[in-house]
Amino acid sequence: MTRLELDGISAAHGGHPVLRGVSLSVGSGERFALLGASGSGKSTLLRVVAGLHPPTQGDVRLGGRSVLSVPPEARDVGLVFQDPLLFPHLSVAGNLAFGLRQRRVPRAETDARVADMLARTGLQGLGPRRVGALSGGQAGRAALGRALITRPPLLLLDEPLSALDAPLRRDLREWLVREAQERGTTLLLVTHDQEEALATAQRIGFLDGGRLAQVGEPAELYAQPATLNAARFFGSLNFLPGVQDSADVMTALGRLRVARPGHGPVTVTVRPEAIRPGPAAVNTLRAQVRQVSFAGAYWRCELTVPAPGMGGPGGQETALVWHAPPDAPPHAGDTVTLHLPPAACWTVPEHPEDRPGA
Amino acid sequence: MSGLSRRPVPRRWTPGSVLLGALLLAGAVGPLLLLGVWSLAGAWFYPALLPGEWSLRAWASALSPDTPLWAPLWGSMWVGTVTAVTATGLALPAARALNGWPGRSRAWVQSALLAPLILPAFAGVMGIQVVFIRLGLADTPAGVVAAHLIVAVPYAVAVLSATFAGYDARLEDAARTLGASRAAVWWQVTLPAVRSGVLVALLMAFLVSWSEYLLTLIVGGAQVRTLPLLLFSAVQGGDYALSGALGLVYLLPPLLGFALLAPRLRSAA
Repeated sequence: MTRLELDGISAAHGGHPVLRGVSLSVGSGERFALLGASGSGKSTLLRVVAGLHPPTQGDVRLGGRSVLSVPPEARDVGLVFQDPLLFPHLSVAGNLAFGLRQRRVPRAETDARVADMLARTGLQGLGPRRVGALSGGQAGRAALGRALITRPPLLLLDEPLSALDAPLRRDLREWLVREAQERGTTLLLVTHDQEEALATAQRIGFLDGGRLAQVGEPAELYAQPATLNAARFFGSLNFLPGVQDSADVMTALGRLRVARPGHGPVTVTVRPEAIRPGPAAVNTLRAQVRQVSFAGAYWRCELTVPAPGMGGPGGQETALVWHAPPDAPPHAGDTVTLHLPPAACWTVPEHPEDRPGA
Repeated sequence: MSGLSRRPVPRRWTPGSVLLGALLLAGAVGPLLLLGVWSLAGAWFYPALLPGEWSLRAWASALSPDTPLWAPLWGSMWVGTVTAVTATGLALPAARALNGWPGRSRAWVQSALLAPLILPAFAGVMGIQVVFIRLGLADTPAGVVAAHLIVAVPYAVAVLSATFAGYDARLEDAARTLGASRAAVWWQVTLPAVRSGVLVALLMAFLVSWSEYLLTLIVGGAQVRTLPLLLFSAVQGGDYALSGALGLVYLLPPLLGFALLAPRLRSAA
């Protein structure tokens, strides 16, 4: 139950810059997820907040107060790592009691809180057990319980439990969100799994190459990514570089009506499920189906659009990916008529060629 | 991990394993038996297979109130214990620090720490003696401990580096975020996690000191009496019965230490 503010945080690892001027504010009791590919600096950011890694620049404030000079043990910030990292020489109960023992909580109260946490984490009766004897799921729950038992106002989660299988992880995540809500705990979650972020967080930040590229509500990052990498990360597969003139962008497909007006070089990104069958007043194209594969909720169709797809001065052949609805899948070799709804044609102010490594 | 270590190992007797076991046993116990026989021999002359005469004289003299044994035994225990605790105390932070270091610099520092293992003590001992005389450490127990540390620390570092190789330093991060100070992390997380390695390092360093002869003789200048010195003079004096009895006494503390240690190591694995 505390507000976290990061003000221009930069950090380095062995001389290499990892974070570059990250500013972020997470409200009291808010659940915030930081998404990013591995190597984007996510874990380092959490270690900076926890006090385990000194930033080269910037300030960390908890509840409005700078904590840069406060050692990790005095910050009262919980941190759950990717691995449970239970203390091997202590029992399960000993692990849960560790934080309370450091705070010199009286014995009777410690015992009561450990018993309560064992029950909440579904580890009843396993208190005296050696941690080596726990299953992966049990160890994960013990790790969460160990971090929650001291009731930290801010809990940091570094891809927690990523070693567990999906259903187990979902259960633990839901449990964690309930516990956090009950206590008003502020949550800062770091993950590369967008589904996990969408399911857990009220707001999401996208970390790219040590910079915070975008912050917003999940739906916003999903539909209106600020950068090419954000668009890629959130599942867009179609990128059409072009030059915008007011509401239209000239692309290899021809003149494309897009979601928002602008000028100059841009890239139009269209999510594969946003492409609709049939003609429309604008953005209609004919495409050849190259390959169709079943993906459960949709059919993944790889299309090529011959130049110029929609008339006008187009370039060469263009490849698109379309997630066709499950009821009437096309077949490879078919020629289909489709349209790209202008609201789904989102523009980002970069060209794919600008960032060769991306 | 514990699941694996607890699986019972199938015992199988094959002619090869029996032979190997017999050889190992003979190699380990044979000399001890010989020591035992010597210590009880009254008169034993070539070519008799066994002593012609048995006697408790050597044991009576070794265990009598005015035995020459007590002072050296006490000296060995004292020097060994102080050496073991100091060497382990020095090696612990070194091994912990090496755990997090990048490859090449670690290899260099590790080689430097282990160098005294490779260089023969003989080569260095005269130099050590000259330096210790200047420092006023020659002929003192502190000087002997310092000299023993030169050989004991590398063993302790070797044992503890191996222990820390399997140590996850993120445990310390977890402990810090749970509210443990640096000191609390060291006592409550790091040390317990490497406890079995610490016990082995203590024993190794103690054994190194316990069996050190040359350094004790030269640096201690016969002022610091330890068991190996006594044993050497007994052997040189030609009293094989007394040497046998002293030899067996000499073996006892290390065996005792190992017997005490072994069950603790198993439970910590």
